[in-house]
Order: sequence, then structure tokens, then C-alpha cells
Amino acid sequence: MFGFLYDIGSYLIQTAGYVATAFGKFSNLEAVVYVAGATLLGIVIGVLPGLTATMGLALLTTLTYRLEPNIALLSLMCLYVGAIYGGSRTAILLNIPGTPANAATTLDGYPLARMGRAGPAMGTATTGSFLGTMIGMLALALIAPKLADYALEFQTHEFLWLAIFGVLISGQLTAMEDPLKGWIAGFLGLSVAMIGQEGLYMTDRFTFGFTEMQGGIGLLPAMVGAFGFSEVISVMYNRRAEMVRVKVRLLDVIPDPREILCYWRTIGRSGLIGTLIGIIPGVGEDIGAWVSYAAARRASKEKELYGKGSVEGLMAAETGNSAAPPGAIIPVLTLGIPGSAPAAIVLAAMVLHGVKPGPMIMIDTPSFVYEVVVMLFFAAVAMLILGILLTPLLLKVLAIPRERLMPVVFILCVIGSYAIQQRMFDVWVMVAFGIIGFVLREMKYPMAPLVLGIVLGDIFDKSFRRSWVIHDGDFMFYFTRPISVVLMILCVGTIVMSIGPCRRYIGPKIQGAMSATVGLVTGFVRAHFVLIVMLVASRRGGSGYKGAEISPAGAISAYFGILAETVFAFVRAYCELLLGPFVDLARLATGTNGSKSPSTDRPGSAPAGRGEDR
Amino acid sequence: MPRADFITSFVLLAIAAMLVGEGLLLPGAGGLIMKGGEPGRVPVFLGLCIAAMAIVLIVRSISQNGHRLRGVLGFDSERKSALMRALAVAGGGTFYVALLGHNVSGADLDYVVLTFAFILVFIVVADWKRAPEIAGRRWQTLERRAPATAARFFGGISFISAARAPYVWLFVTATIQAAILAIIIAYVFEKQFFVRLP
Repeated sequence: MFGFLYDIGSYLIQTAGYVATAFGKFSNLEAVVYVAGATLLGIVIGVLPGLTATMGLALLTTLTYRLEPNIALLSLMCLYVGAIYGGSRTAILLNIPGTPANAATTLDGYPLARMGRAGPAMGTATTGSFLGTMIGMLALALIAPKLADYALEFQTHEFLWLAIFGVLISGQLTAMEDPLKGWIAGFLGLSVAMIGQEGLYMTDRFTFGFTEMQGGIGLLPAMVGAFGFSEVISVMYNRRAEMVRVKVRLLDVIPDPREILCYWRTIGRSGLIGTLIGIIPGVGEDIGAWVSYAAARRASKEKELYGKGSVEGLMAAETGNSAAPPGAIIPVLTLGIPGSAPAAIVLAAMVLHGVKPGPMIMIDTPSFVYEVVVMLFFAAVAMLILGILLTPLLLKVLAIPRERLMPVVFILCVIGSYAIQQRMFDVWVMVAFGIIGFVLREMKYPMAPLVLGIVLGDIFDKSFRRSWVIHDGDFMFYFTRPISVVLMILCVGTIVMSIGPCRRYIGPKIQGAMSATVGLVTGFVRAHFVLIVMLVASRRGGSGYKGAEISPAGAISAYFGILAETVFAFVRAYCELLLGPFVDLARLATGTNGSKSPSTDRPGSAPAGRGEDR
Repeated sequence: MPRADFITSFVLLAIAAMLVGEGLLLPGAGGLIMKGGEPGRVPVFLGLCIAAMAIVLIVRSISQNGHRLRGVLGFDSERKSALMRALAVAGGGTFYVALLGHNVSGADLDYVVLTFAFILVFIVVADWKRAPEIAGRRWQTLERRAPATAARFFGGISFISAARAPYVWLFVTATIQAAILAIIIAYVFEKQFFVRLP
């Protein structure tokens, strides 16, 4: 016990030391100027519809590659956080999300603006964004070092499964309506990564005789194209929206502390959900906002207000999307896998500036993780201050016509993709990805899995072949380690759960198993609680749990009774999940029907009200 | 969408065939290359996966009548004009990139001049239809805020007919914006970031 406390104490002291050093590193005028400038630029990029965080980061990476690494990465973090927040302004006033991350914000932000409460809505969005970033930042400080330690256990084939899982889950979650298109986008991304000399034997692949292609397709030009040029085409293709004409006073935008007290549960829940969604490879801020919004709505006492101008809904969406960027940075730092499309740019920028993210980060440069934490802190504070103080200016930015802005964005895309290696080939890559990206986007193929595929392609290729060489083609080694098996089950589960009938059939069983798992944990806690209470009560007399005799023996029997009850429920739920399909198949084969309810007669049907295909 | 999916799935099948075909042509095991580490192994695997997904897409689109391609190009006028705008931007952008770094009649095309021309043409073309509306709005704002300046300005440009004034206004403002931006972008990248402009 004391050893455990000692470990925690020393860990916290060490962490505090790193954080203090990082604060010292960034507490100078130069850093403050870059923080303010980059955050403001981020907010402006977020405010302008058509400019996304990913595009902004891709362009800024090309602008900052000659800066000192710390300052360059600090600027990128600030832009990232600022852009995700900035999009809320457009969502509230225009009913179109400034960035995809703010799509959920429109649901309640715009109705609030139409009710004449645009100012307070912006204040709520500011509060939510700030607190979301802070929650994500704390999670980054706590989780990243531990995850990096754990990632050291990963072997070649586990990275292979992680890459496959990343592409599958990213495809699944970013194309909710049609996961197949998400997976196709992901596999196309993996295929793009095959272009150029491969990493093991330096053989040219798909270069078609072009020497420029031997180095492969650069991530930054591809992303500038997929998120920059394609956005320019997209903006000109789609119709423009009308802004709600409002006069906002500075006082209206100042966050109200009562909101924090009133919605602390929503803030905490959305912050955690946003961070967790951010950690999932390639998923990102928009899904973080949607899941947080849905969870807040389910738990809310004012469900009927959602979608009509609910302050709680707005708070949930903004906290969720702002908690995702720090969450998305966690796998970047610890596994070298981006949690979202903008995080993929951050990953590329880190590599460009000589930082090596991955499992070795806590061994090679442990202080860097805490420097990122401090960067996020500065970004959140700058976002809070600038978001409030520059409200009138930001409203003016919103009025800039797209026709005047888009040619500038395109010129920056061209020069940005050219500037990195100063060759026209990268510009052509940008143009090609822009046009392909536009076509894919119009056909509802998400871009995030494509980008993740390009990032993970190299890991996937090397891990795939290395693992086959090491184990001499014996694929049974995939089943020999728990991490590998878990990742494999997750991959198969992701595919199976996207098939409608399977989801309807297995979904309720998985829900049952998950609630049994939660029941097991709470059962253990309950058993210990009952044991302690009964042992204390046995000294005073009276009746115990379920009428059991008040004595140490009675306490122990109640304790084991509860444990047996929860373990039995747990085992039954998992047996139903694992053996249920076989039992149903056997019933079908023998023509017997053991189910009590008519709704469960067929294996494809689910009990009423559960597991509907949404 | 099913019809678009139907067509896309054949493009995907072509990509898959290329991945598998090219992957099989890559060197196999032997010499330095160990068994299982062949460079073509992963492209073939990816090609097969993409082919499988393309087949699912074909089956699904056929089940939704996506294979009936009649009227696939029958866009309404709004969609057609949007498509033309997108094509103009993509084509214009590609043309601008194609011109970068080239010389015409022995003279190099200057980056600043090309960029200026691109921004100018983009703005003028994009705003042409809305020019009267935008100019009218700006004029009303100026008249409301500074009537004296508006009157002086109006006197100064009285030689331009009222019908042409919005277009002149559009051309002048676009020229100013294009010139400023082209110079600033070239200056920042060439002098501050030491980029040799194309």
C-alpha cells in the first residue's frame, strides 16, 4: 500500500517538475506573441466557413518549418485549438459549421441566435471550449506517459493490427451512414502509401518510371490538397448561407460561472467522451462533439429543449469537440498514430521538426509530452481571452465574401505545398488530391480514413511483412499474445457490427455483456461496502443485508452471496454472447424453439425496443 | 447515389486490378528478399481487399437500381451551374499550376504576375453576376456613413455609365486585392522563408 502511494507521489512530483520546466521554456515574450498570433489565426480560420483546422494546420506547417521546433509546434497547437473553437461562431450565427467539428453546435447554437441570444450562446461555446481543452489536457498529462509505457509492449504484428483497427474504426465512425465507404477511403489511403521505394528492400513500387515518385507521396501536399484545394472547389460548388444579423456586446460573451455550476456533470461527461473519442485513431473532433451531444441529451432533464436552443446541448457539443484535440494528440505522442486528421498534420510537423513520436517518447524525450501539455494550456487560455475580447472583429471576419477569400487560399495551397521541398511535383500532388478529394467528398467518402491510411501505410506495410518473415509465415502467432488477440477481435467486431442483421442480433447481447461487466465492477464495490457496514454493525446488533444474521460470519456470507450473484450474471451474459449464436443455429437446425417471446423466434430479430438499426 | 456508387465500384475494381497486377510483377522471394517479406505482398493484399469492397458496392448499388444509368447526366439548372463553378475552379487552378515555372516565347512567366492574374480573374468571374448587388450595397453604406465623400466620389466617376459602374467597381477592387496579395505572398515566401519561387 505504502509502496503504491510512494509510486504515485514520486510520479506526481516528477510530472510537476517537467510541467514547471515546460512553463519556464514558454514563459517569454516571443512565445506569448506566437501563442496570441497563432490562436487568433486559428480562430479566424475556424470562423471562416470553408477553411478547416486541417487546412490551416497544413498551411501553417509549411509557414513554420524554418522556426525553432518548440515555437513551431506551439504555434500549431494554438492554431489547432483556436480553429476548433472558432468554428462555433459560424455555427451559431450562420447555421453552418465553421469546421466539421462544430456541426453539432449548429443544432442549438443557431436556434439560440435566432432567439436573440447569440451573445450568451457564444459565451457558452467559449466556456465549453475552454473547459473541454482543459479536461483533455489533464487527460493527456495523465494518460500519455502510461500509454507510452504500455505501447513499449507492442510487437510488430500488434502494430499491424493496430493499423488495421485504426483504418476500420475511423472508416466506421466517420461514415456512420455507410461504413463501407469509410473503409474504402481508408484502404485507398493505405494504397497511396505504397507508392515509392518501400522501406525494407528499397524496391520501387508504383513509380511508373518517375524519379519524383520514388520518395513517395508527401503527406503534407496530399493533405493540403485533400483539405485545402478540395475545400476551395467545394465552397464554390455549394450555395452560400445567410448570417443572422446580430449586435453582440462584449459583456454578453463573457462566460457565466453559473453555467459551469449548473452543467458541471455535462461538462465533465462531454470532456471525457471527447478525449476518449479523440484517442481513437482517425476519428476526431466532429464525432467527439456528436457523441457528447447524444450522451448529454440522453442524460438531460430538459431533453425537449435539445435542437430548439438548449444551452446544455451547446455546452456538450463544444466541450466534446474541444476535448478531442488533446485526446487526438495522445496516440500521436505514444503510438505515432494520429487521433484525427488535424493530428496527422501535427504528427507530420513533429517529424519535420526532428521529434520522434512513438512508444519510445517517454524514454528518449519524456519532457516533450509535458511541453505539449503546457502548449495546450497556453492555447486554451489564449483562446478564452481572444475569443471574448475580439468578438466584434470576428463578426467582421465572418462578413468576408468567399469569392474574395478562396483564391488566396488556393494560392497558399500552391505555395505551401511547393515550399517544403521546392519542387513542382508536390504541387501536382496537391492538385490531384484536391480534385480527387472533392469528388470523393461529394460521393460521401470521408477524408479522415484516407489521411489515416496514408499515415499508417508505412507502419502497415513494414509490420505486415516483418511479422511474416519473423514467424516464417505461420499465422498462428497472431493468436499467441493478448494484445494481438484483443485488437483482432476489435477489428472483426467493427466489421461485424456494421452489418445490419449482425448488429441487430449481436447488439443487444453485447449491450448485455457490457452492462454485466459494469455490474461486476459495481457488484465488487457493493460487496465490499456491505461487508464493511455489516462488520461495523455486528458490534452494535440489528439486521444485516437481506436479513442475514449480524455477525462476522453473516457478513462474510452476504459478501460472497453478492459476489456469486454478480459473477453468475457476468458469466451468463458472456456465455449468451459467445455461445448464443451456436445455440440459435442448433435450434434452427433441429427445428426446436426454446425462446419465450415471439420476437426472438428468428435469429435475425431482436427484442422489441432494443438494437434498432439507427 | 446508387448510380454513382455503381460507376465508382468499377473504378475501384480497376485500382484493385492495378494493385494486384503490379504487386505480382514486383520481385518475389529469393536473393536478399526473404520469404514473406516480398515487396508486392501488401499491395496484393490491399488490392484484394479493395476488390472485395468494390464487389459489395456493386451488389448493393444493383440492389438499389444503380445499374440503370439512363439520365445519369440529367442535372437541373442549379446543379449544372454549381458543377460549372466547381469545374471552373478546378480547371483554372490546374491551368495556373501548369503555367507556373514555364516560359512563353523565351520569357519566364513571373510568379507575381501569374498570381496577380489568377486572383483577379477568379474574383471577377466569381463575382460577375453579383456585381450590381454588391456594388449597390457598398454604395448605400458609403452614402449612409459619409454622404460628403459619397457625393465627391460620385462626381468623380460620373463619366462611367450607371450600368457599367458596378463592373468597374468590381474590376478595380479585385485589381487592388490581387496586386496586394500577390506582392505580399511573394515577398513573405521569397524574402522571409527563402523559398525560390516557381
